[in-house]
Parts: sequence; structure tokens; C-alpha cells
Amino acid sequence: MAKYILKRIVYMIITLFIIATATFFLMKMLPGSPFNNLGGKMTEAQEQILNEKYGLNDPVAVQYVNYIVNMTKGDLGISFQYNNRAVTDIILDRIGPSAQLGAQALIIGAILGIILGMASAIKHNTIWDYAANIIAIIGISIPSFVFAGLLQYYLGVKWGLFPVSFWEGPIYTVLPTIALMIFPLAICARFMRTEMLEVLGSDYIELARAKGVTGNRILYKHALRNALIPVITVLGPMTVSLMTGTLVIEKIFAVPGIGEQFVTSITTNDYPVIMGTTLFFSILFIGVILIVDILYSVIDPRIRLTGGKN
Amino acid sequence: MDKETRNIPKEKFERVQVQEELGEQLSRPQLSYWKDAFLRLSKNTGAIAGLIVLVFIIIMSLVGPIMNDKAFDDPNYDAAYLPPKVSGLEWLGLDGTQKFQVEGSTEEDAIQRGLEGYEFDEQYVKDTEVLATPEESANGYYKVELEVDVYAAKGFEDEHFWFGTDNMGRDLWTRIWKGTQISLYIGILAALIDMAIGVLYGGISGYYGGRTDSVMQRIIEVLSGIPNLVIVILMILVMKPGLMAITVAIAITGWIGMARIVRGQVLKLKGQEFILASRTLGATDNRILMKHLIPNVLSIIVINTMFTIPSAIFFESFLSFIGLGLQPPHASLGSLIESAFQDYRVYPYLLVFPAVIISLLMIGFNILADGLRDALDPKMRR
Repeated sequence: MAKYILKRIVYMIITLFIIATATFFLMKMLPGSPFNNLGGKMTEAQEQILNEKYGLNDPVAVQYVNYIVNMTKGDLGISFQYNNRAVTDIILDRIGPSAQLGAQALIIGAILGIILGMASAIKHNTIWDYAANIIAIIGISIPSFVFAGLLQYYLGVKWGLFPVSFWEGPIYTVLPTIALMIFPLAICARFMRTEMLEVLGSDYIELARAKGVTGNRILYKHALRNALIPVITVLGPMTVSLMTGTLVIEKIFAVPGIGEQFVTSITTNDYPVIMGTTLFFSILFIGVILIVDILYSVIDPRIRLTGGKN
Repeated sequence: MDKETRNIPKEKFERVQVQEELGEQLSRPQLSYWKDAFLRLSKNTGAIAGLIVLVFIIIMSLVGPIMNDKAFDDPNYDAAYLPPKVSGLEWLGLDGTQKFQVEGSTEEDAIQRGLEGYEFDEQYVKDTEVLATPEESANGYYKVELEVDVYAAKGFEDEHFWFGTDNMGRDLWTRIWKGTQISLYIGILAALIDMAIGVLYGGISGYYGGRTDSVMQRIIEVLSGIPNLVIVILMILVMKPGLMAITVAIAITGWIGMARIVRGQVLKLKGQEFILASRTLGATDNRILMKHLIPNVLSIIVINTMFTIPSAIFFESFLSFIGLGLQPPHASLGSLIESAFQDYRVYPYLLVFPAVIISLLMIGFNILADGLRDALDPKMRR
């Protein structure tokens, strides 16, 4: 187990290293200097001073080593656009709303999805099952930005139930959370339904029924517990969807989070912020996948991480 | 036996089961695996409905842009924000009128402000309706809805823009179907890459095993750790944002899922006896791979490809939505929706049409993929 985790962490570091290296050299290939966008108002001497200050006169190899060393210390460089603020500070400043939004969407979406999936497995092949399936297909198919637009137009503009944008209190989180949770909800519902049907058809449920255990007790004590375990595996794809989701949802609802910052930095060509955020997302993504794999083996000992014979 | 039957003389009876070999004969034509799957699919109403929707959208994306004489990138600022108008479908609301909500201290004041604000002449106002009196509204103003015949007001009585026009006066109908073409191109491209690189990579890795396999798997492990979005951004740093950058990004990571699945299947299959038998008979690696392994994993390849298509379409529209995809004047469904966000409160049709098309496209592909999975792999059906 410890060996496996160590191996995975090594892979994680290699991947991050490749991403960081690729971004560094691609950024070096870009024409112009970071100070171009000041509009040529600087004299040659001023530019030289700035280049010296930020170490841009050093050989590329030295710059690369500095970049990697700084990165391991958590220093991701300086933004071109935001008064030379450190990228790490910008990310830390904006992590709150994104984390809150993501957590709300993940938790509410997963719980509702599990309930929906369970209901449709229990009422297998009835109208409830079909209705739940249709909801799941729609949730998986329709892009979150389309959902967000429709929610904003109907619930926000037309009926005026919830505020349309900004981030000033719990009521402001309602629409973005709904828009963001549709996909986790749909994925959970489908997965839960499949797992639940499989568990309900297994021998030990049959045995419990034969013993005379009541229906509800079978459902909650025997079936639900075992069906819930594999749902952990969809946490990975769900995190990815939340990450991409926050980009568009935060932009649409003007939420001051990382995603909104990211989209803005793309439109303003603020490369250090783009790269810093990209690296941040990569760490998040790889970290979640690792945690999911470890969690899974801890909860279900039948899954052998070390990859023996199965 | 009733009486009548008993009265029939014995000679009239004939034994059916005299010839033993008849019992072995097949009474119906044999069903091949693919025929069987096709039958199952055709019984799945949802999948067939999805297929019909898809065929309709595909045909329209090819025919739509040439159905009228308007270009997708031909701005005409005089014709900006014309609402949808289809002759014959006026009763559906596609009559070229637009409703504007305006506010003022009196009803007349509100109307006057609206006419000035939107620059319309009074004669084109077809209808006015008071939505809220000062007592009802939150801010103490009259809230009035004006219904304006925009085509007449802007001097385009004879024109018909079926889906209306955008902020630059470009025909939304043509732009939407052009955008749908982009989505379909991305879907097909992703499917081809899945099948070409993914199947080959997974097949080789699984079949040869040993050191080849472990090296190839390490490469996959590193590649799969990089989020797609990161690769696109890296591509855009070197190239210009656009179709090419997305294409390269999909080519770099799009096939990983497929490669893993194919490898797993090949690993499972190659240990089975029929492969051993074939090898004993002297079949070459190539022959075993092409004749035995690929046909056996074909159903899984088809299913997985079908699920790749909608996710690739989503990926492209998402990138276009955040500004990393197609650049104007080119249109994609994602960028159309993005630009609609600027003023959909007054002109909701800008958002509704592309949103409906992309939703139908995604639902169609997903339902069809589900149906195919159930048809090709009955074990997976629930």
C-alpha cells in the first residue's frame, strides 16, 4: 500500500514537472516581452532595469531552474495585468467562492443523484424509472452553460426568484449551484441505479429476504451500503466537470472565483496567471484522482491496488 | 380427444417426427451478432428517436446554410437585432415582432422613453400592455411592454430572417448551421482519433505485453494526468486559438480512454484458448490481431466511440464559450451562446436557438450511444 502510494506520488510529480517545463519553454517562445503591453512608454534604460529586476537577462537555463525552484516554494510568478501582484496571492484570494460553490454543488448534487438513482432502481422499469432516466440523460447531455443561461433567464430575469449575478450572500449562490450540480447529479443517479440493481440481484440480498428481513431494512442496511462504495469512483470525473464547470458558471454569474479569473486572464493574455491557474488545476485534478484511488482501496479491501492477480 | 377427432380414420394421420435429422434443422435463418444487435437497437424507441434527431440535424447542417442566400460572416449593421420571422409560421410567434419592457412615471412617458431608447417610430408599435402600475412595481414606475414590428421599423419588410439576426446583423440561421458543422466535424474527428490511435495503441500494448506494455502504460499514465484544458492552453500559446489548436489537443489526449479499454480487453482475450489454438496452427501476430482480437473487441470500440463524440462536441463548445475556441467571424454553437449572453434579456431568441440545437445534438448522441451499448453488449443492459 505504502509502496503503491509512493509510486503514484512519483508519477504525479513527473506529470507536474512535464507540465511546468512545457509551459516554461512555450512561454519563452512567445514573441515580445512582458512589458510590451505598457504601450512602448518605457525608455530602453527602464526596460533594461525591469529585465534585470525580473531576471530576464539571465540565460534561459538559469531562468528555468529559478522558475522550477520558485514553483516548489509556491511562487508562481507575477501577473502582468493586476499591478504586478503575485499569481499565488491572486489564486489564494479567489479560492473561497470557487471552493464554496464547488462543495455545495458536489454535495447537494451527489445526495440528490444518489436518491434519484436509488428510487429508479427500486421502482425498476416503472414510469418513475423512465422519468429518472430522462432526467439523467438530460443532465449529462445539456452543457452547463446552456443550463445556466436558461436558469438565469427564467428563474432570475423573468420570474425574479433569485439574484441573477454577483456574490453577496447565500441567496446569490442558489442559481450557480443549481447550474453546476446538474452534471454530478446525473452521473451519480446513473451510476447509483446500475450499482443498486446489481446489488439487489445478488445472492446475499436474496438470503436476507429469505431470512425474513423487512424490505426497508434490506434496502438501507444491506443494499445501499454496498451500492454506495463504487460511487466513489465517479468522484474523479465529477471533479473534472466541476473544474470546467466553474470556469463558465463563474463567468456567467459573475462569481469572483478562480474560474472567472482564469477566463479573464485568457482574454487579456495574462500568461503568468493562465499558467499559474493551469498548474493549480492540474495539481487539484491529479490529487483528487490519487485520493479517490486510495480511498477506494481503503473502503473496499477486495480492490488490490498493488495489482496482484485478479 | 373429442368425438370428432376420434371419428377421423387412422390413415389420415401422418407422423411428424419420423425423420430424426429434421430435429436438427434450423427453422429460421441464423442471426449474426450484428444482425441481432441491429434488431435489438431498432426495438429501442429512445435510440431510434435519437437517431432520427441526429440525422435531421446532420442534414440541416449541410443543407441549412444554402437554404437562404445570406452569408454567415456578412455584417449589416442596419439589420442588427431583427427578431425571427418565418412566413407561414406567424402564429408560432415567429412574426418579426419584438417585445420591449420599458419604465416611466406614466404610461405615455414609459412608451415615449422606450421609443427614444430603442429608436423606433411610434407608427410601428403594434401593441402596448401595462405590466405593472406604480403600486405593483418595486421601484414606483409604470412598467410597460411594447410590441414593435422591427422589420417594418428598420425598413426590411420584405426580408425574412428565420432565426433573426445578431448584434452585427448577421443571419442567425446560417450561423447556427455553420456552427453545427463545426460541432459535427469535432465529433467525427474525435471518433477517428479514438479508433486510429486509441485502438492501435491499446491493441499493441495489450497484445505484446511485457516491457512494451509497461513502457506504453507509463506514457499513458503521465499523459492522462494532464487535464485536457491544460493541453489546449499550451497549444493556444504556440498556435492561434481556433479549430487547429482544438484538433491537436484532441489528438494528444482524446484516445487515452479508448487505449485503456482496448488494452484491458485484449489482455483478457489473448489468454483464451482460441487464440492459443490459432497460434498453434501457425497464425502470425498480425493475423491474430486483425482476425481474432479486433473483431472481438469491436463492439466495445463502437460503444466507446459513440460516447466519445458527445464529449468532444461538449469540449469544443465549452472552449468556444470561454473564448479559447473558434474566433470570430467564424461561428460555433458555443461561441454563439457566449455572444448571446450579452443581450439575451431583451433578445432571448439569440440564446434559445443555439441552446436548443446543441442540446438536441448532445441528447441525440447520448441516447443513441446508450441504445448501442444495450444492443451490442446485452450483458451491460439493466
